[in-house]
Amino acid sequence: MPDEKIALMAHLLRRAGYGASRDEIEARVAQGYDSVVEELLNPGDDPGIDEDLMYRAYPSYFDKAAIETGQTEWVYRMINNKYQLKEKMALFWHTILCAGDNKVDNARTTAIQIDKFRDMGMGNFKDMLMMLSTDPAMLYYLDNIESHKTAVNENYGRELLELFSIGVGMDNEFNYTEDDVKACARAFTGWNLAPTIPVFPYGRTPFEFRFDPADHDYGEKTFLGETGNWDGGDIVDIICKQPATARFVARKLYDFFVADEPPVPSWRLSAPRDLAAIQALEKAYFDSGYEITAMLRVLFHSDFFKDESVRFAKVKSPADVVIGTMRMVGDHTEPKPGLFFVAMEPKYMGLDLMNPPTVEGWHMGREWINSGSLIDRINFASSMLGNTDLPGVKKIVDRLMGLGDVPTSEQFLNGCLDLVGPLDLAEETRSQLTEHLDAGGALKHGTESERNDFTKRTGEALKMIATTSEFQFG
Amino acid sequence: MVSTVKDPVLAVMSLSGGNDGMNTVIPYNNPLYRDYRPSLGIPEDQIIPLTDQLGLHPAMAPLKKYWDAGNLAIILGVGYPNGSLSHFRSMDIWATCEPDELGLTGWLGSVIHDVDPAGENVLTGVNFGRGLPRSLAKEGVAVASVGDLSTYGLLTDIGAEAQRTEALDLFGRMYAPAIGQGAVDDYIRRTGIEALKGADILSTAPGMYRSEVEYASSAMGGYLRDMAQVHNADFGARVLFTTAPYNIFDTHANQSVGHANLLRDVAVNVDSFMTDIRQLGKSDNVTLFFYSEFGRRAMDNGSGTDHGTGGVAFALGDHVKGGLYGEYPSLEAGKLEDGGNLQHNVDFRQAYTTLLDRWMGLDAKAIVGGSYEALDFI
Amino acid sequence: MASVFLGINDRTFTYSFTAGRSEFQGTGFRNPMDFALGPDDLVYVVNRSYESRSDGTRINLFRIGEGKEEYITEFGSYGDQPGQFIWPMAIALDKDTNVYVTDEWTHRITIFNKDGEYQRHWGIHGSGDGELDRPAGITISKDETVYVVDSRNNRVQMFSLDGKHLGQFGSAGEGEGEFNLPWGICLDKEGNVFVADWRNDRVQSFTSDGKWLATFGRPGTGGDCSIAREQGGMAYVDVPVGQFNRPTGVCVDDDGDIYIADWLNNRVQVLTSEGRFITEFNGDAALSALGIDKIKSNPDMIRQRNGVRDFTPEKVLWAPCAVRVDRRGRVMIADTSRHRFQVYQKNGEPVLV
Repeated sequence: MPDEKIALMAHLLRRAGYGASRDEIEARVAQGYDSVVEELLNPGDDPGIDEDLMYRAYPSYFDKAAIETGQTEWVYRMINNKYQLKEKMALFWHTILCAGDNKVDNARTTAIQIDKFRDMGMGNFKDMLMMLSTDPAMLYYLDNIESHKTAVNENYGRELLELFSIGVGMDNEFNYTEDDVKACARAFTGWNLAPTIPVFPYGRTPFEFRFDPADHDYGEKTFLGETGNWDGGDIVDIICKQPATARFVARKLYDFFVADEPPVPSWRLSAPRDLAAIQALEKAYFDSGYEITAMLRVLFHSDFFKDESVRFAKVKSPADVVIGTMRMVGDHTEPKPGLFFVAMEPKYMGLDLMNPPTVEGWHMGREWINSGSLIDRINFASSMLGNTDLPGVKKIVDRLMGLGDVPTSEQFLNGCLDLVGPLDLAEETRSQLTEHLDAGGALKHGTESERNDFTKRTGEALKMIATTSEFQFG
Repeated sequence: MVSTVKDPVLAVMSLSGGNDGMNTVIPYNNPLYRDYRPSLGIPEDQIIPLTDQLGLHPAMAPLKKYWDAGNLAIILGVGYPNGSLSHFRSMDIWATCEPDELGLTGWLGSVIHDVDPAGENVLTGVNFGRGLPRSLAKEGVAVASVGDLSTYGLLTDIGAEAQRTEALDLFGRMYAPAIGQGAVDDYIRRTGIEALKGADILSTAPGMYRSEVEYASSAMGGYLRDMAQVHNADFGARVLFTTAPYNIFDTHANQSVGHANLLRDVAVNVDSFMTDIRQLGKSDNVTLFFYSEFGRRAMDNGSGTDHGTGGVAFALGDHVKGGLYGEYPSLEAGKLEDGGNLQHNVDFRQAYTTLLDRWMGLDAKAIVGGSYEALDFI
Repeated sequence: MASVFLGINDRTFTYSFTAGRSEFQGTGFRNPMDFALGPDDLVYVVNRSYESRSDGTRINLFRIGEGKEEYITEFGSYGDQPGQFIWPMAIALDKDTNVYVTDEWTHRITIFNKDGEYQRHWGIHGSGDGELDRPAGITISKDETVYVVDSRNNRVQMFSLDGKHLGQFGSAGEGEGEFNLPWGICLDKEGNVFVADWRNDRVQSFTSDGKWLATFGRPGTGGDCSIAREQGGMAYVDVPVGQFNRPTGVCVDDDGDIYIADWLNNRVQVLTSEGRFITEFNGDAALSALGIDKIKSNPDMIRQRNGVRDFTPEKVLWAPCAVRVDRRGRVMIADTSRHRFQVYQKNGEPVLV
């Protein structure tokens, strides 16, 4: 049986980050769960990586001429950011507050939005919505730059309500009407961008927000039952105090960190999986004045998060697959060539970072898996974990050699599973693997050639573990 | 039902994002068109006339010959009651035929199930692109999602053939049992087995394909070319699906350039696909249906158009009876829906019913959730 | 931003012109990291580009004359085969105009002739004498000694032109003569060596055989300073000193004035040989000749430019990696993240604004 403290800490570090090596998990256990949670919730203001070393190796990250450069930089940060929860919150918000560079076509503008998600991700939700409403990538993506006093474009106003804050409905009721959408959109007229220096001849310049008072509708609006000369800031204020907004943020956090919820459009009719958990998060939302950190603190200390039943019960996102694997095998922990190819993997698995398929974002949970993406997930993780040249895999080999002179296949397999999780396998899967190991003969590591063979067989065992159905869960 | 030599195949392409039907099939003789489209109106001399009232956007020119030959059906004013202006909702409605309740089962998922109830062929339904579109989703139904046909397989990093065979064998044994660890786990195991089978079969398709036909180097071109290859290989694929990427038809702004490029991409690649399967001698049993989740508002917003309702859909194939189906929605101010939208007069489920009843020979009622009058395009 | 800078000792500088544009091939640059000045206004440029566009990784040769630039050729490519590089960093010419390029990933020095034909390469990865770990800056003295900044070994090594180890100086640390991941290097006309001690945020000078002479600067993001020197234990306590944020490139002109590419401060600082602050360049870029060509063929961009009110983002330097001064007093700055060169003129006589 795996050590419960190790298992719980591994769970926390997988969810509140992209996982950790066994060495780190053990150090964190020694530090204590509550202390680790507080550390995760209180990251430093610094970038959490050696940015100077990164830019020296990858000078193209300054100007980000292509979205691939932005994606690659983000993946580097995901692997290496010592403030893992802060880093994961950037992805959390990106999966909700979706803008895509396929339309924005200015990778640095898009990347700056992600930077803001990272910096403000554990702050106040009202600040987040205000930032979003003045964020150049978003205003461009959802056509607010085309929304004028005399010709309102409803796109941003609609999605702000439908997908970014209130959600279409809860408890079988609609949360807002078409008139609310119109009022909301009117309040954001004139929230625009300054004219941008074009891409030629020196490369792109990031977009900048500009409020155009001449194009703003200062007229009276009725929004969610409140009437006044609202502008966007007032709309955000009204949004934040809605019970439906608390519900929205709570369900999103629960969905991302605890267990899969259905997509937002179904929330009018589908009740939360765990209403008491959602209510606890809603309470933290209002008690703290919309502070995300307060909600996360409740979440990570809750029984519903720690419960054994939610561990390895969420389908890993492609970011969890790719970054989690990289952190496990200890590769790309400092700049080196080849990062671009790693950074494209989430895209092949269905998560094209900075390019959500629609403003609704990605359908998650089991929808990450189809026969195509499963092939990509298996091929990637198994090729990494099967590579015994990688430092993290070497450490696993070393630890396995400590199991005893000649571990049985079962001991060896349990050792492997413990070190990549601790992960449990269905009995049939386990017996298939044990049988396979048995067929390979005794697992000795006394002599040089036995050690080489032991290392090779560890690689093969880890490779096959990475192909299992169980490995798809995190 | 039409009689084909081989089992009928339904190919579907979703023009995701909400295609501007009014600038795709243009009511060029209606003065209101000019009033509504001061910025985006297509100059009359560029429009390709179909009738004395309606014409195609100039970028659709490659499809004119199918119209002339009577193989292109255009379904006008297509939609559903109380049209949702949300992409996701409307896409899901088109995918699930559930405008009121939330549906999780895709209509094409049901088709795959109905033509292959036991799931004997893992390639009965093939998606070209990544991810599983809602249209193909159905509990217990396998769909191969082919991002790129030319590189497709499992554990491809094991170089030694014998070793890879052994590893794949073990993989098959690990995934085989229905263990009852939960619905998602069962789903993943099924998907793994399907992936294994599908990859083996699909890897043989490019070797069977001999063609000189060129497709555009766009995502749509790649998907339609892969679709032609898989169809050509006679794997028994009955449902072929693809989606234009990234909500790409969502032309809120800067529409004049962008929309023309999108329509050109559609027309060029659809033409390549039809030409290809005809030259391969495999067009007899294919009908291609392409649609968008909604149309756009009648009036332009200065540089684009916002989400609307009634749109336009197309069916193309050797057995399609070309022509116009449904009525062009009235542009009269009083006839527009709330917000200035074109009223639909054909329910998309009528188009589906036509394809299911008359083409696939299935019971449409169960799939689309009710009786809808078929159109006569098949 | 004024285009004429009043310095001390009658030194003034005038913004002169901008050269190049962003291109992955041919008539432009892609992340120019370093450059070397050859005869007849020829400039050899190291283009780094990035992994998904490794077609932009190359050396290219331009003639950068008065106010215009002419593309001549390009050579070298991305890879680890002979004549290729992965992370090209710096470049130097010997007196026959052979081209020496360092590569921080393969730990090699690759040599091309003046026309770009691959000759040979040398360099073995390691930390022993003559072994290299991430070679960065490179410069060649009149007596044909090749000075290579051996960055992860925190030292400077001297080699013959064919790679024979001649000597070395420096070690890891923050003290005099110690380094933390040094980058750029240059020689003054007496043959003294100046090294951009990158992660210590300073520049150090040495005799040609490696005896420490002076240290310039300290960490910081402030720019307005008049003295930038801490030498021999002396500190000018009441006077602000020059502050650098990861200095990358350094060069010294014939007057002994020191130019430092102050990377993360997005500027170039100019100091006297005693370390007194003269001026800084923040960038004044206008459209280059090649840039005008590009825009002329894209009329939509002309319209777009006409709507822009503030061109500051286009003018300023962005993470510059190298600076050189030619015999005519032209100060050329590799404006690395804008894929171009900004050129200033050091005036012989004071210039009236």
